[in-house]
Amino acid sequence: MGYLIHTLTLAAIYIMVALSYSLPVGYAGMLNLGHIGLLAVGAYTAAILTTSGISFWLALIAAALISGIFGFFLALPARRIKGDYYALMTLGFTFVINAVLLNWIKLTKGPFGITGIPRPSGFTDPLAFLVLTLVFLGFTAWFVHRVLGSPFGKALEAVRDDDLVAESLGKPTAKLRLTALFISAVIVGLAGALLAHFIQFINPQIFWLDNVVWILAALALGGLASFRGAVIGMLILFAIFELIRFLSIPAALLGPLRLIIFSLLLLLVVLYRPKGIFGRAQIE
Amino acid sequence: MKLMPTLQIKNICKSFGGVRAVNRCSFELVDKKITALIGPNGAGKTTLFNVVNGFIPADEGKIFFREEDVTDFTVWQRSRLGMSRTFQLSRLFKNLTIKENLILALRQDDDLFWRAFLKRGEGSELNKKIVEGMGFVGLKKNPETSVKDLSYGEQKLFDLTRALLNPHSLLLLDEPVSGVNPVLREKLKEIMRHLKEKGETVLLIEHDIDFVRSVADWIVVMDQGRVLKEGLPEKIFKDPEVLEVYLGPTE
Ligand SMILES: Nc1ncnc2c1ncn2[C@@H]1O[C@H](COP(=O)(O)OP(=O)(O)OP(=O)(O)O)[C@@H](O)[C@H]1O
Ligand SMILES: [Mg+2]
Repeated sequence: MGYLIHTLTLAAIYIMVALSYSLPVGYAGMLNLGHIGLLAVGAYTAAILTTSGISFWLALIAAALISGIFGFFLALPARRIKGDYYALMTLGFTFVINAVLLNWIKLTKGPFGITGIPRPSGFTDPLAFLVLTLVFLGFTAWFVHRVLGSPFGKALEAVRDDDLVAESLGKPTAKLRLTALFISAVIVGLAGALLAHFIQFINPQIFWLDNVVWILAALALGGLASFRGAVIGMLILFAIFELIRFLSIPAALLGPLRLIIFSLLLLLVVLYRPKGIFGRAQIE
Repeated sequence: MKLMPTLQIKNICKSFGGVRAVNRCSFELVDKKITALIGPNGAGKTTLFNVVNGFIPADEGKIFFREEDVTDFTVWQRSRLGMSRTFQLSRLFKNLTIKENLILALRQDDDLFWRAFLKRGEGSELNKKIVEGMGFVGLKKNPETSVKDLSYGEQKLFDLTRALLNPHSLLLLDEPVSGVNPVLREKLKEIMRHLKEKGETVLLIEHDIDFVRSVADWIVVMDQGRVLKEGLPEKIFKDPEVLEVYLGPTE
């Protein structure tokens, strides 16, 4: 039972991450590999603030805002740097964040990470924390669903398909990209804060690159530019991760086996449904 | 005081590396008329179009649009002031449907995400405009069709529809009949005549002389980046200099 609650909470947090990721990647066509860096910003902001005595709720707001500000700056170069170059630039952001986390020891405790991150009072019980996470997930899902289904969501899709043509129809593409990345960063900042308070111990390793690859793979599996795709993709990823645990295989093989099974599944989907299970667009 | 024309192109220059694509180009559009921009391949017509709507910054010169110097305006600002354009090779939002493409052209407020949380009720009005727009060009397709399923000719027609539905006071059309079949070409002639009746101000790039002759009120001839001549169609197509650069020194 404890295991189930634990897994569900993590899954809920990562569905928030996937939903926030679909906004820039699936809709606005910005392959932002800095997303995991933003998750780290949210997690560390909340962890640093609460371990120095600031209340959980204030820290949560700060995490969302600071991540949002970083997201804003990540969007600025998007008007000039596009496609693969944008991916590379944002990859650089993840590297920089990681270097800061490792080296600014006074603030982040470096490679050892921050321990003893308190659960918010009233939510120390795992079940209560799950409920809290689900409330955040529900709000996020409602918000993202509403935004993506609105004319704003369609304008983002226009930017993704052909930003020059979108401009020529009167869409301020720079502002659209900025807004999309800001919203995405605020949500992933919240998710980061929830993650920190849930696992209560964070280190730079958790926010390393392999994580962004998994999230991207979950999106590709579920389908880009699709609300359902983001949710289902992440659920499938979690299901595979967790179900493999129940096979009686040596722990050392667990990691590679996950990778193999998920890669095969992704390969099949990409071969037979290039847009993913529910997707409407492809990354080019 | 003389009213300023919708569009003034003043001394525009644009080079790509060593290539002078547009070289000191100046002309004005006559309001509510169709002006055709003709000239051989590589004359600089599309480049000039891109400078007018802002895709490409000019090296020199100015663009005035509706009494305003728009030389330093962005593409979307010029669009919101009333420029609307099509493309030599149709550029549609390929993952979207006909209807979604057209709504994008119609709406001018979709950059504000918080509007997603306000009451909306203009759906039927947009639908009406879409049906009207598609009826006007005679595009008989289910609006829910993906634009990928349109044939080449339908895409050209659709690109035009989208430009027409985008709120505008100036239409920039880059080769609307290139590569289309004769039936569609006649249909497009008819559409152009309707546009003239509606009082649209149009700048049209076109190679098809027969098409230009039957729809244009005024003709500007470009060659090697310069404006060679401008005038009424009957004069232009008799001008020996024009005939030489445009048709080659054959006869
Ligand atoms: N982006 C660019 N980079 C470099 N050179 C360019 C670019 N765009 C156009 N040119 C060059 O500028 C010149 C004018 O090209 P442009 O496309 O404006 O001609 P055009 O009159 O539209 O020709 P066509 O009738 O073939 O469409 C050509 O020599 C072309 O090769
Ligand atoms: Mg051209």
